[in-house]
Amino acid sequence: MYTNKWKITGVFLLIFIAFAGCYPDGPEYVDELDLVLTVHDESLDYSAFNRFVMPDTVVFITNGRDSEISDDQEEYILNEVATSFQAAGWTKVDTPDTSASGDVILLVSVLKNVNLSLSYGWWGYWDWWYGWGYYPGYPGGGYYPMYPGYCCYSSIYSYEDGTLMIEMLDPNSPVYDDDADAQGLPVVWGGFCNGLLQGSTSSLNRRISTSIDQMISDSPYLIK
Amino acid sequence: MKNTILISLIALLLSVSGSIKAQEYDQFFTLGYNTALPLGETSDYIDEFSWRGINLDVKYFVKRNITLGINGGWNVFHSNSGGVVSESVTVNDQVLTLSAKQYRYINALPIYFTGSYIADLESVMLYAGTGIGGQYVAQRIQMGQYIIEYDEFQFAVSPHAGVYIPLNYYMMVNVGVQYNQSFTSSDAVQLSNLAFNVGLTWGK
Repeated sequence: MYTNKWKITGVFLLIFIAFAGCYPDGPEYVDELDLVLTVHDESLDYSAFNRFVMPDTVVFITNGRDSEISDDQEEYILNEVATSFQAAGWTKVDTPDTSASGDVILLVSVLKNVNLSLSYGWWGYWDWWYGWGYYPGYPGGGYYPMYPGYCCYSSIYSYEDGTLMIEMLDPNSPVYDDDADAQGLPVVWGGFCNGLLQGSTSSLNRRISTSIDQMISDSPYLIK
Repeated sequence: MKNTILISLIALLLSVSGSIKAQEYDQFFTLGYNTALPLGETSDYIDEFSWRGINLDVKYFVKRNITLGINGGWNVFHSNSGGVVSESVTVNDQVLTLSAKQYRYINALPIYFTGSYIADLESVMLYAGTGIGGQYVAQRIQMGQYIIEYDEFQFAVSPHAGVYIPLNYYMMVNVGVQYNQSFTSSDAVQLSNLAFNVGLTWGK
């Protein structure tokens, strides 16, 4: 009976640990971390806008070493934005008509963020014991000794994430300050997509295309 | 096939049980596997059945058939949207629409002080009681690389009932059901669920 008791207990603990150890998985693939955000003014009548102008460059901002986006990537992004808006019924023109109110300017920007993270060793996590002050001095008057044989473990890892921004400006509604000087053009719509910059160029381009389509899909008021 | 296995298992358990009375013990210690069905606000937030959970229960006999004790555990509720979902919020005439795959989690760690009555039947012991205490709730929603979390302790009550099926003098199988209801006034989900426990009980 004594042996049976521990056998049953052991089997049960194994099953118990197996079930308790299961934790639900989160995102497994890079594209599952993609996020699309659109912002619009619900008091604005977007049916009044139907033509757009786009600069032939993408504004590139980064905290990394790259100084500019590649020509191929830039061309791909600009083409995707133009194609998506044209598919939504917009007309692409070369210069805005400031005498009419139906034109907008689409500014495309890319932010590339390099994130660094430092993982320091076991002793760093517990913080130092000071020789005097908060804690009584450790024998020998020094810092808490490192765990035997567990020295100097730390790692640095980095990852890059990027945000594609499309800002729609109304050139016919400049914003003035108090002394009647035009301060800028209002952003009447914004579309942003954020994700990790991982994977091949083709997969990255596919995700950009999907995200731009999502922006248009989330903005039915822009569809003509 | 599944029903046949379940019925056979129950018949087997009942067949090996002996006639053991509650007053022969000073305490019961139960370790169990816990599943839970989300209810109310919890099911609005996550409507998936939780298959991940554990339950610990200690009962001390203060009188014949009456116990006081402590009950605790851990349940994980989880759901993902499967595909991209969109959420909109309006702030000062500006409408923000977020679209991404959503991952939702609730980790619930209940802890209760319990009182129970244990009734001796021919070959099993039935119990029923209630618990008062709380649940630590860690609620998280992830969209893209961004996470919104709420962590708080919520006051909770927990009526419960079940059956002890003795295997031998020292050990019993415990099958029980427990209703957990929390109360909160914050933005976090007010946690309520119906938990199903299957475990082993050691009597002393």
